[in-house]
Amino acid sequence: MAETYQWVKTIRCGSLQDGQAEAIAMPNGRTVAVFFWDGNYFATDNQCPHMGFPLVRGSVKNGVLTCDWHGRAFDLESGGCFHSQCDDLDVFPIKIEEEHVWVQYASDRPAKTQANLRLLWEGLLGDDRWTMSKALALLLEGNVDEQEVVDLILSHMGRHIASSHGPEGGEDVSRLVNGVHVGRRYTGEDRLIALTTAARSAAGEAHERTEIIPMPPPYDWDQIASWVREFSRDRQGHRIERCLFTAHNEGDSEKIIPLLYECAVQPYFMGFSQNLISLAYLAELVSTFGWENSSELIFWLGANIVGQGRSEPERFRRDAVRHMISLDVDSLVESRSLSAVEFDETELVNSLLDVDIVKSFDALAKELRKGVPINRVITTLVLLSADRMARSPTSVDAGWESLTLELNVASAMRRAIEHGGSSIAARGLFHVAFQIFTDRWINIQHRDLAENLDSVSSPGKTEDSALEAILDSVNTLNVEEVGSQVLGYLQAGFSGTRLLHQLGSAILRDDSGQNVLPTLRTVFEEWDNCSGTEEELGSLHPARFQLIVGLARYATDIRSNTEDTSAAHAASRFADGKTTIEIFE
Amino acid sequence: MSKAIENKSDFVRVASTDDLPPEKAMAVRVGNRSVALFNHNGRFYATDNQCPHMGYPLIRGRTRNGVLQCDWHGWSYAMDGGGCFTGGCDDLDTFPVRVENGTVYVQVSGVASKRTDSHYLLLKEALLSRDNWILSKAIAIMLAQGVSEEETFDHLIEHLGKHIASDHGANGAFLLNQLLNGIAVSRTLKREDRLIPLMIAAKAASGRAGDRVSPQPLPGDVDWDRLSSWTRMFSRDRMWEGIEKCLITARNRGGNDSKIIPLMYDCVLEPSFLMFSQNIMHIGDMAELVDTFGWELCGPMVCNLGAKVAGRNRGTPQGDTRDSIDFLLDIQPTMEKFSQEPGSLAKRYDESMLAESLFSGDLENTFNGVTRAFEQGAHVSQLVDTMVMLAGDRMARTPASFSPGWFNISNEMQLSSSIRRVLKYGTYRNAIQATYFASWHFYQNRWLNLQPSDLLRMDEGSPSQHENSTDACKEIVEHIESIRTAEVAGQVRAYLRSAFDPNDLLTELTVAILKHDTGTDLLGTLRTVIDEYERCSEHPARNKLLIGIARFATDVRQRNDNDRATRTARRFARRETADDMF
Repeated sequence: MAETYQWVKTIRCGSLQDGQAEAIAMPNGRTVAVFFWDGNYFATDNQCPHMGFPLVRGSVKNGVLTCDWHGRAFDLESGGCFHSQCDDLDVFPIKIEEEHVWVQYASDRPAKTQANLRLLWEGLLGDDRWTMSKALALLLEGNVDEQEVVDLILSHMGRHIASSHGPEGGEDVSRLVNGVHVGRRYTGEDRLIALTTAARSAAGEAHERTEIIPMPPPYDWDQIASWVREFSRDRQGHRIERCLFTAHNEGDSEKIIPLLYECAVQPYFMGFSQNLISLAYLAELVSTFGWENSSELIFWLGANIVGQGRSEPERFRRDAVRHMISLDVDSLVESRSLSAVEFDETELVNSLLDVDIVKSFDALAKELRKGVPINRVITTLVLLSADRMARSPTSVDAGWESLTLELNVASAMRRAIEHGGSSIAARGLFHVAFQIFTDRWINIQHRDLAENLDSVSSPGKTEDSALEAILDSVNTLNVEEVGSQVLGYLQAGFSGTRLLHQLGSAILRDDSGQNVLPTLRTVFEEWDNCSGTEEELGSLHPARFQLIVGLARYATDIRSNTEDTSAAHAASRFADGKTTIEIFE
Repeated sequence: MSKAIENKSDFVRVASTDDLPPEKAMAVRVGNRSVALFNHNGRFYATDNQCPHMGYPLIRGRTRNGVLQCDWHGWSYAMDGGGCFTGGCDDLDTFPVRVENGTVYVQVSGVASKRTDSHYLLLKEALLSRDNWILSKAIAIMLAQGVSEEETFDHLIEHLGKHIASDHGANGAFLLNQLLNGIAVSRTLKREDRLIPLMIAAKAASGRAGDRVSPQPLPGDVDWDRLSSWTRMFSRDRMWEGIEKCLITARNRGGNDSKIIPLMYDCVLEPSFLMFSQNIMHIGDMAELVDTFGWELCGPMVCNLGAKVAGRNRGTPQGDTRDSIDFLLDIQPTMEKFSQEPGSLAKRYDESMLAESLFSGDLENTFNGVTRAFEQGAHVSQLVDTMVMLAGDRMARTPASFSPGWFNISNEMQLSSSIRRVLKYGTYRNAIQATYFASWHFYQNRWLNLQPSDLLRMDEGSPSQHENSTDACKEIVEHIESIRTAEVAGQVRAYLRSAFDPNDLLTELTVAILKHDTGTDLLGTLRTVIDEYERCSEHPARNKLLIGIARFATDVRQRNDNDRATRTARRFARRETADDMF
């Protein structure tokens, strides 16, 4: 857009004392500060580029204008800022005519994309919420390409994680990717919050590292892959990074993610299902944004994830590892029937919840062998965890962290199919089953997933009033009712998509949004699946409402911050000689 | 031997296949290299036998799946290409192998070795890891294999700049000081003795290097007068970020580089900076840095560190210090007058008068002594000579039985000496101000309780009993190493009375001092002594410098703080004052 300039008549000459200033409204609504100092007039934007304080209230000394609020200082004449994490101030030409000061004002401010990207980087390095948020707001306002913003965040994140984090950095990656994706579903302030949350997950100091160079020749992918598998088994993650870099350098980039997946689904990683989520998002990162800015992140984190230390498996893990090895999952996936088969969802769910890992794995193997599509099994696991989230008692520890892990890792298996193949995903399912086994302490009443849900009444007669009641419950921490309200709303036939959109916006506005983000993204996608036409992906599944019910309960309950109360409550029952199970009955 | 092999004369017969059963290794010598042969997974491999990490023999390592792992620290290498899995810069040399008719041949010569930049990768790893071993290995390789010293120094300086920018405030300047002193001292030594000072220099340059968004110059047309006026203002207001911005803008405009150091001196010589006289040395170091290595390389560091030094918080001076600052503020017009009429080197001034005032322990006396010297027409550099010699004399005489104040005296000496750089890189007025700052240090160290001695008086006594300087030096070094503080001064005196070359002794002292871990702390003093001994060749007291540093280097190795505290405490309990001890 072409900028248009116009001269605007402002104050009368002589109306200001030395060092004084006056704010003048411009035709487009912005305010300009006109200063008189040392015999000259100066015009600057009245909004301090740091946090927007009116600069007419600042002080001028030796040609330097200092804002009253945080003391940011600017050259009055050029607008240059003397501090980091702050933009230069816009200044405007002036002329004196008719005994008045005239200011030449541009109707459109130039989009300072480079300066704003630099500002974003400063915010990332300083982990400064305000600076990141401001930079992103300015970038969005300037209609900058999302890829450009993400590229900057990614290359910073690669250095940050490589210099300050081990495998747990994978959780930050999932927040980043999910923040960007959830952000795409929103506009305006909602999108800004999602992107700021994403950026914050990448924030922190970053340091120079020793340059990684490719291994000297000869290069042989099979040899590299065999080393990576060996180093993963031997927990020698630090040896893997260079192998991956060499393969990338030799043009075998597309083989890297499947190789990492192959390591992560090995039986010895039983109990490390978070890895499968981290890998899913690393894979998505590459497929969405390319290798250029994500390579450091992938190599460092990939190496750390599949090569991380792990103790010898104790009793339950040992049983699970042994049983998974004995099942020979690879061959059962290859040999499975491809004709249409009957899927016994009820039996699978019963076995998964029966607190017997052998039975659980056998049931899973049976369905896979029969040829039930992997996506159909994933749907069951996703809806099973959603159903558990929808019903987990909040009077004691509701187990949100474990339940959302179940949900997210189950859903992440769809990405494992896409980026690693069905055999990888099939093996991953056993890790999900083990996660459900691990979470047996949560003690949720058993329910047949294929049954219809009991019907409850809608919290309002119209969609609008029902929606309002639900959001009110979320905002006022009414965890007792929010679940049944959501169910009633959905059973009344009101739009789940609309509810989810509003719910997401409320979630992002709370500081807990950073933790809820991966689950929010999963629910968004799985709800889309359930609303679609593919039965495999959950179309019209009787338990589908539980996705939103579970999310609403989770997002409401984790904000109640009543750990002391729950502990005291559980303790007094304990002192009465009651077991925890009785609490639920 | 087959024809094919004979033609390829660079393949050397090293073993028979019978010598090396499956999964065994052996070392063979080819030329002057020890080569490790492996029979692994049905193939023969040949690699350098020296582990690139710390030199352990690799034939004693483990082999598995084509990976060789050293027994000592577990570093591991691809047996085929030699690539190291545990770091990018320490790849192992591997050699082509041929097996014909039961004989193993290896081609060692003409094998392209590691990447040409492998040395700098190693140096980078050393700088980032701060690992003593990797640092010394990188420097040793530089010295032994003819890697460019200049280029290595460029890497060190660049790295230190980044490290200071992200991790240090004004005190990062001490790291620059170590770096420059290490390089300077190494240049006075023979190649084989340079490793330790250069290692200290590299260690000083090492550390994390954080990402930083580099500051942009101010927009618009801002001239030097405004930039320098703002710099002074921000220095008084302790706002270093503003100073850095001004300096970057000034450099970006071009033509201002030569004005930056004098401006920095102006800032740090404000009387309110009296307690921070180390700033004078810091700016001197930055001046020397850009003079030696150029603005292009050093500019970012000087803008950042200079700003942090000139914009540092200087606290609120109290009591005595406030009086001193007030005194300096009062005599500003006098300093101005002296700077209009620089003294002359030809004039004689009363050196012992200055010495007496510096020892007086009285603030006015001290400052007035300096004023009188200037009134007598003395040049700043003459006062510097005197102050350096006095510091040397104090170092040669301070009682080692009680708290000898080695580092305080050393500071007097280094600060006085750094006034020469003010003369070279700043204005004459700056040098006058700096002289008052330095004199204040003598006043501050009045607790040392040393009486003035006649600087012009020559030492008397018998010469060394040794026939040549080598034996005499050896004896002195042995006394330093065995911590015989009481005797070492006498031996240095005797050496200097003989017809031996004092420079030989200085070199031997330098090497001996650096070998001990305390060498890092003594480096600055050592460099000052080396510089000043040459510069003050005419001064009769210059030998005190050598006696002083020999005593300092010997006594500082004592680890007897408990003993000293106990002895002092017992005297205290007997109601004796500390002064009685002397």
